[in-house]
Amino acid sequence: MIEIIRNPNIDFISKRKYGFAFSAIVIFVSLLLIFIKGPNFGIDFTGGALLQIRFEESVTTSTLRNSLAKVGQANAQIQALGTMNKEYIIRAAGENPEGFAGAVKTILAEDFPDNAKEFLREETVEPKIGKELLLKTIWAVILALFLILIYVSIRFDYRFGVAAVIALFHDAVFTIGVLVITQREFSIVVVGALLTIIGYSINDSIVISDRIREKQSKMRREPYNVILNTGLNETLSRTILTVGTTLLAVIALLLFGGSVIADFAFTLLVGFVIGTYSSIFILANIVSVWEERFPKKKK
Amino acid sequence: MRHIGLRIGIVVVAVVLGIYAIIPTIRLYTEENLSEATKLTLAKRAIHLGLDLRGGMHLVLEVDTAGIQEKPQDLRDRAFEIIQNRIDEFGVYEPVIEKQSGGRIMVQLPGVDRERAVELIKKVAHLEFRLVEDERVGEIVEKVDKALQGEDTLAFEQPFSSYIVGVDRDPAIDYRDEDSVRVMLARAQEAIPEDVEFAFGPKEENAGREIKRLYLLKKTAELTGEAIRDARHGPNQSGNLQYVGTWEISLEFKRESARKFATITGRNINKRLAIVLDGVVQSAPMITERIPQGRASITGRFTPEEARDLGIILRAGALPAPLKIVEERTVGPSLGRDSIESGIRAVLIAGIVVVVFMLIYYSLSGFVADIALFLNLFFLLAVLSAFRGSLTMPGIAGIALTIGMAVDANVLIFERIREELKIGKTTRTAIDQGFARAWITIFDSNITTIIIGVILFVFGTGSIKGFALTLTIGLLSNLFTAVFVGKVILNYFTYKFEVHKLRI
Repeated sequence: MIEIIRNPNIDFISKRKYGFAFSAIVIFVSLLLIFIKGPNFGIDFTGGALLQIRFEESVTTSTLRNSLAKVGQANAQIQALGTMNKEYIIRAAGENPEGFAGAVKTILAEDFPDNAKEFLREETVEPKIGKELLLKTIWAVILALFLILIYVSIRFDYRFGVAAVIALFHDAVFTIGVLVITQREFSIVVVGALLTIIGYSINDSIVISDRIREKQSKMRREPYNVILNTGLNETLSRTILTVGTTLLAVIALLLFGGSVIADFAFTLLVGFVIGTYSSIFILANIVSVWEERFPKKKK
Repeated sequence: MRHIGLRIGIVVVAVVLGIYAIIPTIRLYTEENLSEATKLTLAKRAIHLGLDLRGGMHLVLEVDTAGIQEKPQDLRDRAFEIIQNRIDEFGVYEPVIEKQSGGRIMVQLPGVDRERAVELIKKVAHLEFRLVEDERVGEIVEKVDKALQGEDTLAFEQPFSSYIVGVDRDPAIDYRDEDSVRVMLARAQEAIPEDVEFAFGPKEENAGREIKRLYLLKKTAELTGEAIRDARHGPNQSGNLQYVGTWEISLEFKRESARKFATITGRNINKRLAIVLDGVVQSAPMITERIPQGRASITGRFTPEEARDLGIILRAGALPAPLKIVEERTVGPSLGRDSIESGIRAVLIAGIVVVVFMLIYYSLSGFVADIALFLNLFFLLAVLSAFRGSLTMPGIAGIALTIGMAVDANVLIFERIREELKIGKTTRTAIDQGFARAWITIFDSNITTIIIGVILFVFGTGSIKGFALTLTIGLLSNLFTAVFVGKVILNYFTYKFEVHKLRI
């Protein structure tokens, strides 16, 4: 029988100040990044146009940029895919996306007449649509957090509900912070990934809360923090195992899933790790602080 | 241990149903040389690929309401009718046209030429009233036959006239013959007098056959859609017993056109006046009398829906509102193929890695988890097939993720069983207790992810919906495979082989 950790007995609760301090710093930095630098919003949200092109012969980024400059698109983002210099994504935010796509196609036809081009993907989004989508997205996230708060409060205790939602919020902000640093494109698919992270991270929180609740009825005489610690330790190997298998799947997606899904997989990878950390170091610790400050009346 | 026979029975029935559901999908995507008809029947019961995998375009259109006084929704309905009409003409396989909130229309066209499709959709609607030359049809069909006989280079097996079947009182052709008929008409151009031409009606079902009506129309239009002020549908008011219970469309012409309409109707009593939208004859009512006041009604055996659609078409012509593309996503076919390939590769690798991991970590019990995992994927695909769900690239990611997450249930159960064994319970009790204790946790944690899945499905755009779909179905079937099936297998083996020591 293989076991990851044999009868773990780690005192998470007494070390909670380290977890809180780490998370507080990270959240502060993430919020700064989000509000100052801002995520690299994709055209889904800003409006704009995207062209994915595959050339027959390789083309350098600088020649591409020169061509784009001729049609007044010097600021368009150019992203090379693969290492062959044959496939590129060209992106421009802003008004009149249809005009952009047309202009780019024309200038490429002029500047690279003998180089066969295939347009793999073409997207145009009016800024108006992007704004609506952003609003819709924010509502979706709020609704998701709210429903989870309700569910966890009903199934467990409102303290676990609130703590779980704080942990989820922490996960989302932390993950977006990482996305800002890496300047990954923040598209609608990435939002889908963020919501998935929320849904997944709550699983760990629930499994842990569930075990704590069970221990509560069995260890009535023990101090509350001991109960919390026992719950965390008893679920530790399960937590590591399931996150492990899920991460295996996500890494497979990231490495082999192709260009279309790479940002999605990357976001999941980062978020799942953060989510697991917060389930272990944030959730029970919030409940523990809460209990110390405002002890529940014993029935 | 109770009801082991019954529980095995349930699993077997579920698997059989799953196989039944999944067969069309497997046939559609693996068998070669399928006939078109078989493909269509199979496609109705198979998973279909999203635009990002098969290539195609996704458009969201908005009616440009600038300077127009009408309700956006009304304008939208008319634009919808026009687009549907054009796309039917375009002949795209499995198009999707949907009304969306905010007066928008969503159009999905798999595998089409982008430029042509955009041009087709953005064109302003063109509505005309043209006279039908019914009495000349016979004579002209004969001429066409003769002209084609003379063309010895052409190997049409049958004469033109043999393609024509009678439907009600109209000539019509079988929908499948449309291309040949169009070619014949083009070849026999010379035989058709200058002032007339043939036009088709929309595709319709008549006595179990798909047909298109054929009309001989005057080339010049008597009036265009701009002549119409309004068109409304309502129950028939004429009191004519023949039309009791049917619906009619009442038309109102603009003042200057009303006089012209009076002249036209006066001169052509007992002829038919075709309503032609973008070249397709929508209806061809008979002129029964001169209509002086610019108010006409079209009666027939219309159902409320038919009357409504015709009303919308007539108003559509009255008001050519331009359509604006507010969102376009086009994926070329080769990117779609690349995505399918890399998607399948990622799912396979994820599957193999997780399966091997479970075997190593939980030995024989890991094998049970692997069977549950395999069944989970199997049911996921079966349910997708049964509901004709669409598979997108994020959908494939959802499948990969399901693989990773599904074993969570097994892990929870096995960890519980291990704990029970540690405190000295017998194998059987440990299994029973393990499942019982883990069940509520598994349920709780799956439900929250399913909540997220549903939110993603409701709020998400096209490809994200595909992700929500596979993830949600995957987790639901996980509840069945990991808990129910997993327990059946463990129970059965420990019972059959009288296992006293569980390797878990």
